Amino acid sequence: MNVLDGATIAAPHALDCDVAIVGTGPAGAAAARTLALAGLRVVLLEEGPWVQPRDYPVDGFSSMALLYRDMGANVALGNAPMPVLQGRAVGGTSVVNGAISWRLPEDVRAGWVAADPGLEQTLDAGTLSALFDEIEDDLGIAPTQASVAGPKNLLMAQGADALGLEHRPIARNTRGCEGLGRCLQGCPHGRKQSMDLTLLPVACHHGAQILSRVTVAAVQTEHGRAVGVIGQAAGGGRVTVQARLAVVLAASAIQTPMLLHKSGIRHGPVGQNLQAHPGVAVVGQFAETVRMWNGATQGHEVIGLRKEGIKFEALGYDPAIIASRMDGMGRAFARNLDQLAHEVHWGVAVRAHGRGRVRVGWRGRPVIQYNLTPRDVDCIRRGVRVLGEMLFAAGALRVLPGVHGWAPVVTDRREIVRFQTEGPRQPDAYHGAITHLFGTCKMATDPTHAVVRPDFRHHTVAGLYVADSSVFPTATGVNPQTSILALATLCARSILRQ
Amino acid sequence: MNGWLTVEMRWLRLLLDATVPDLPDRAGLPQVDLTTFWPELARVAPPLLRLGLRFTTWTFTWLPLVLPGYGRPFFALSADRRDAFLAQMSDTPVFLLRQLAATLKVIACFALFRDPPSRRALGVVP
Repeated sequence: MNVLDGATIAAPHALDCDVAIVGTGPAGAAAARTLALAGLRVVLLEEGPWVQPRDYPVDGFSSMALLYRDMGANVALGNAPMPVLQGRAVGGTSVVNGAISWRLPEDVRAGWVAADPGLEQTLDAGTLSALFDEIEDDLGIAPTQASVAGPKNLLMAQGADALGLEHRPIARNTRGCEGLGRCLQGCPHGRKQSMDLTLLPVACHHGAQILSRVTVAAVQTEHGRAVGVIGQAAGGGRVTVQARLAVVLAASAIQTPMLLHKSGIRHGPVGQNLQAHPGVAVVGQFAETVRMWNGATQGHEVIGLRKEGIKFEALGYDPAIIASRMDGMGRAFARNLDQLAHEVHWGVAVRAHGRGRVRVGWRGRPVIQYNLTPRDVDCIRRGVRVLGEMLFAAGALRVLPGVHGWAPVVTDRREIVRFQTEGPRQPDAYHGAITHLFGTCKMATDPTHAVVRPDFRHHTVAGLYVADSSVFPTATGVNPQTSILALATLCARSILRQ
Repeated sequence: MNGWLTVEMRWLRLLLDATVPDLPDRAGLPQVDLTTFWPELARVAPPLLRLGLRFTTWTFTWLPLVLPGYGRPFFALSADRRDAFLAQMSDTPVFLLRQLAATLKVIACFALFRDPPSRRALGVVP
């Protein structure tokens, strides 16, 4: 790949191109590939490093230090403070996500178009369907095979069957998955079809250049038109990229509005309307050895309650994270570690009604505010109850809801059933995380309620486009990577049409 | 870590060690060499985490002195009282203190599971 490491740039460095793209995650990669294939000269700028799969660390701390933004310790403040997990590397979050692939559900698309008919032309169902077909071919998206699923995923199928809930193996962008369970640390054998191994090499093969470890400071504008970006390389040099046709922001629903603010481009509700999929995990302890760090990282899901905004997934992460969720402190905690290989963590993700915002804080760092609504907490309570019941049905001896104000260890199924109605209602009783973010540069026809137009162009700055999940009008209720890839491709096509 | 006093580092190490102490049949964090862990943590931890860790260190070191039932700083407590204090912080109704305890636990686990012998001892291969 054509990657220039910003650590080697100590002096001012200037480049010219047709299109400058900020961010190399799914949005930036999809846009870059489409534009490079069309013959345009593309430069991508990425704040994180380019890391080869063989160099991905084994342990959780080292991988989070290397591949995650702020080692995963960024927190959304609000009535239930939660960590916000984002990748920061060439390939973006696709390097460290669970490879879960979902088409944008038709009910979600239809809802967007019903709220703003001006979106219909861009988000035509037939066009999207054809794009999803291409993406699934390109990335080898297929259901997780039972041979690599491992016990934690197979147990979820048992639990869901017992409760009569619709479930299925998760479709993932992998080829030849070996079930190492290390998706969230980066697949060391390159089986996950992350952007650094798929779309970015294609873009580079067609002339695109990537500048890694370069932090973009601002979008440059002249006479109301975006003409390039300026940034700071890790080596200390100032980087200037002049873009003849367009500047595309694809830096995430947190970083993109931040960049607009820092650039003084504050038209519309930039940074507002933050939506997300908050999630919490429920733990089951089994008599048999499960070793949840083995097997496909996230290989099974329960989708029977999706239209109610609730989705369940088997989880998998490094043992350090598993351990930190275990009960107790001191010697009691150390003793509980004996159960490490017997634990299964399943998560409930909610298509939350909560809203938040992103703004620029001290030293230019993001300040993320996000509040759960009472309805969101009700969904989480229901989710905890269903997961607990599924765990018992799958054979768990004990369930650990992980909710402050409730028994830390539950051995009676009736007690977990009771949780749905009697569980804590205060949001901060739940220890969750946020992984999917949307809406901070919303796409819509009405410029007073949106940052970009339905064709991804900024409402007031010519030549400026937003391609990432910032433009999504709402949360999707499902894992967004495939939808981001599709919409970013449409954004690139829009640039080609201009 | 950068800018930390030697005594602060000693207090933090004590808190982390007490979070995952040695058991009669298994070594805990006290047996793990953290020489390379500290500079890495200092390099990558975001400002809020660094601030939170320092606040945790001071709060959990001195809070037992004024908390009923303890009457002395954390470093002067017996192993039983250290366990009791940390458990109390982990389950307190005060959200901030619970978060500090959770932060301590996460850092302790990161440090423990970064150590290959500790991983092996807990059945994690590689």
